[in-house]
Amino acid sequence: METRVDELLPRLDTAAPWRDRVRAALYALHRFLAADERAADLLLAELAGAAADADPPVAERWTGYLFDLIDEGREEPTAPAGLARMTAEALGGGVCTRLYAAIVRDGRLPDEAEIVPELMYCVVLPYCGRDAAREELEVSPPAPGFLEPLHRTRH
Amino acid sequence: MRALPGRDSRSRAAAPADVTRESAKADQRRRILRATGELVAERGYDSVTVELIVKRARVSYKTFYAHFAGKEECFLELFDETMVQTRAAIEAALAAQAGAPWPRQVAAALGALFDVLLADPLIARASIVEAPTVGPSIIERYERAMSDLSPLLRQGRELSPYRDELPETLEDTLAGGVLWSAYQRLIVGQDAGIESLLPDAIEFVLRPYLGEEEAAKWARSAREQPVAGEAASAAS
Repeated sequence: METRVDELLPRLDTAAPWRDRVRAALYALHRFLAADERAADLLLAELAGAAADADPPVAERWTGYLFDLIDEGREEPTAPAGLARMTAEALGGGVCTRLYAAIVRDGRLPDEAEIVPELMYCVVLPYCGRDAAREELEVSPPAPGFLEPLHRTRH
Repeated sequence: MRALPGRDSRSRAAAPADVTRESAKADQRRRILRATGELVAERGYDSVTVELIVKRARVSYKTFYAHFAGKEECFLELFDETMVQTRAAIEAALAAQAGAPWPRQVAAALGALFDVLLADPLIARASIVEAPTVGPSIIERYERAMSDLSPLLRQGRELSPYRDELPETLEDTLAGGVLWSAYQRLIVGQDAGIESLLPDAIEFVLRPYLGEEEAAKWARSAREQPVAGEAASAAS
């Protein structure tokens, strides 16, 4: 599982606009969890108690990546000046706990086309405003192998 | 009906002993739960044994097993007790704000929640942070506790000009986000950071319903008139 995360996260690091990168990260996280039930259980249990672990594993790499990425929203021209880092932490935490709750409550992840646009609405709203958030509810999921062409990294 | 001669005095004599025995039992139980919470917060759930608990609580194994079937049952009791106290504090804060505008009620509920976390960070850490590592027995309880704030937040839809577009899962995401932020600070021992988090948390949950400016206004109001103190006095 660690290798898969190490391979996956750099592929998300592209020069695409912020909203596209956040959306790609959320679909990637969802597909990563959906691909392996055991990985989902393990990762989400780790997420819930992550830093209690002496050797923070896969979960912290995901949360670290996701929180930093969401926090980049403060650089969007539409973002209000007073937004704190806490907004990104809470949004990232909200995404993780929402997925965790779905697995606990329903025994499975909700369909990606159902949950990811709703999560994107929440993430985009503080930084880009209501219209951009509303647009996210209409964006279709990326193609199944969408991470493959993303080798045009920024570095 | 009058008691037969002698009967009355016997029952009076028995009462203090019963009270003492009961209060001693209750005290043992409290010490066991406290010890469990402290140890779980310090070492993590998996590293805590009944041996460590009985030593810390200064009770015998026999006493421990008279109260609980094992470590897991003991931890579940601690978790349930913490959640009952948290809900009571939130309900008291809301009762004190009955009739107040909804954003004020949300601020009071979050203030009460943060007060509970701050009042005993060690037990909060054990209950909230370590709970998911315990196993399937606690997962449903944990998930229920995480979504406790959702019904209150959902009331904001009635006031919101944006109600038609708000995603169905919004409240769970907002409540989960606030709790996440709070318990991340518990994990790293930044308990004091929880208090300063409150205005940002209020703004965070109000924004989707009321919009940027209105949410910021209520957050400013919470900074100027701390709701946390109000909630604490309402709960006590």
